[in-house]
Amino acid sequence: MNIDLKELTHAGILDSTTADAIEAFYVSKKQKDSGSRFFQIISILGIVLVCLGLILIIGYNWFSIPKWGKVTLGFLPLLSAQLVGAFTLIKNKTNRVWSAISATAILAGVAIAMSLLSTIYNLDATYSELLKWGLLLCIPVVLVFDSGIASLIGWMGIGIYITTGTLFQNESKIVFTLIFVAALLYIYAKHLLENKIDLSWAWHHIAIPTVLILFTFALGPYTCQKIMLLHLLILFFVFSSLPSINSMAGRWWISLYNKIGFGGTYILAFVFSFKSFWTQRSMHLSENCFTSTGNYITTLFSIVFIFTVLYLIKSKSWNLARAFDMRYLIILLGLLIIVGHLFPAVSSILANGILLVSSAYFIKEGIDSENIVKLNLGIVILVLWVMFRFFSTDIPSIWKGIIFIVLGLLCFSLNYLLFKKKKS
Amino acid sequence: MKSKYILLSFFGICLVQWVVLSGWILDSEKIINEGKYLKIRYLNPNNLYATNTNRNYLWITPDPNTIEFADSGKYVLNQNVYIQYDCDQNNACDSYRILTGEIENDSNLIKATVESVYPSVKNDNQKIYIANLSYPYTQFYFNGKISTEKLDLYNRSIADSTKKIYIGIYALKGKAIADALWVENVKVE
Repeated sequence: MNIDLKELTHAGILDSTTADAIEAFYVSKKQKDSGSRFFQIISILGIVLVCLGLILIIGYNWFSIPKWGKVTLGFLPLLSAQLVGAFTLIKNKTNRVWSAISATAILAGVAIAMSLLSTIYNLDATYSELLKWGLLLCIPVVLVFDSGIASLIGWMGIGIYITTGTLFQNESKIVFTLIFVAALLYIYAKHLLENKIDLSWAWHHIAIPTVLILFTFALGPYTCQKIMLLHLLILFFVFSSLPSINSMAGRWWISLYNKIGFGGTYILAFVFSFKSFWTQRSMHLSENCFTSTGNYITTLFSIVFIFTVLYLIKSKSWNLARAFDMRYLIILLGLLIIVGHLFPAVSSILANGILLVSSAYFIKEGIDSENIVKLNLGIVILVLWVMFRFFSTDIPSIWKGIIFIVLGLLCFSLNYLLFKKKKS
Repeated sequence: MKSKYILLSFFGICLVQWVVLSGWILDSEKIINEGKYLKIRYLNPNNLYATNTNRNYLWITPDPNTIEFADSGKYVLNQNVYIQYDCDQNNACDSYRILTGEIENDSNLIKATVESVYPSVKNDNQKIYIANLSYPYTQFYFNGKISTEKLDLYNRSIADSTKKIYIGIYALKGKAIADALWVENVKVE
């Protein structure tokens, strides 16, 4: 809630002394917060630089050091970080800077110990295996220190783990990924519900969906990507339906997320409007897609989806008048994937219909509510639709030219009409 | 959560970190001390270079790297296979058999995993499948400050088809740890 102090003073609700005191309090708080955040960033940068310097110096003399000396050196950073961690928990538990530094240092200590051990023993150093152990040893540290920066590093680690090696039909890797995601989601949800979101936690709103999207796409083979698209739509649907997300509408990241989601959903709708998408042999859904690992994941996604829909109906947050609310579009596109599996040609026609109707809806909404953004959004969807159809159909150039002129005139006239309406 | 429990959890986590990482050392030491030394051919010997950073990093593609087969279900994704090597008195292993199950107490055995399977067609139009294998030793760190003579010997041997180049490994119950590069019976590093 933004409060205008001058307005309140002017209305006689606040006297000027109280208003000045409130202003001074928030200015000082802002300065304190910004100083602490700056110190946090500089400290973490310092730790990283010191670690890198040590690694380079030790690396230069690596082969002159006896094996057990190397092992000891490998464990030293971890031991120091753990001691700092213990000190933080005993003496400075409430200090966020110390918590962030300790957690990041322990994460770095584990990473250094693992990489040096793999060098000393030429260990079974498949990257994916190292990452798995790294995440297993580090995620509990994130939970104990409740650190946003360490959690963000954890999410990045999960993203790299997912994209390294194969996830498809690799049951143990899928189970480990789910465990890591669940652990870090728990701490993120805790912060979200308690509304304790600083900058490092705010970045999670982008990192988490990105990692989950990577996960859904890595789950299946290329031939099952349509199911992965269904997972993607369900994810966006569930995330945008969360009450805590809706209660924070207006925040920068919600706005960014909705814009990316809106753009992505319409890109999918355009992809679905091409006949080749449904008839391409390599993209046919095979029976394997339902019998492989993706099977129970799809079931899990579907259950979450059904519960979200039931919740929305119960909480009466559906607005049937807004037929092209993002949620409806997502459900329609999800249904198209299922219909397209049975009748490939029908889905392409339906996708074209959805695009045209939504274009008309935005134009009408724009004119009725005198919203120039909505009006032009509708026009852009229409223009893009016409352009894409030109690429996939054989129409003489003269007709293409005429249609483009008509569209251009339509764009000018509609904007002019709205401008005139607003003025009157 | 109370501070006491948080502190206890932290000490527990630290203990687990030490146990897991020490376990790697103990496991590796066991393979080195109790394992059999095998010299195995590898498929991608590249030139070695002396480096300023005093160490270098080599990707190893052991032989066999792929399996060709006609029966589509014989090898599947993520399946473990065992490579049984035939080695001479100098531990040089030039031939092998691929097994789908482990043989107990066979010290010449290394475990590999089917990383991917894809269909292919041979020159005589026979439809086959190819499985790519992944091994427990794919990376090897060698000393960049090795002597010039050994470096030259290794680099000359790569171009010489009469010379055999090996990676020396310790093998125990299917597990393996890379130890050194060999040209015939000369240890390079």
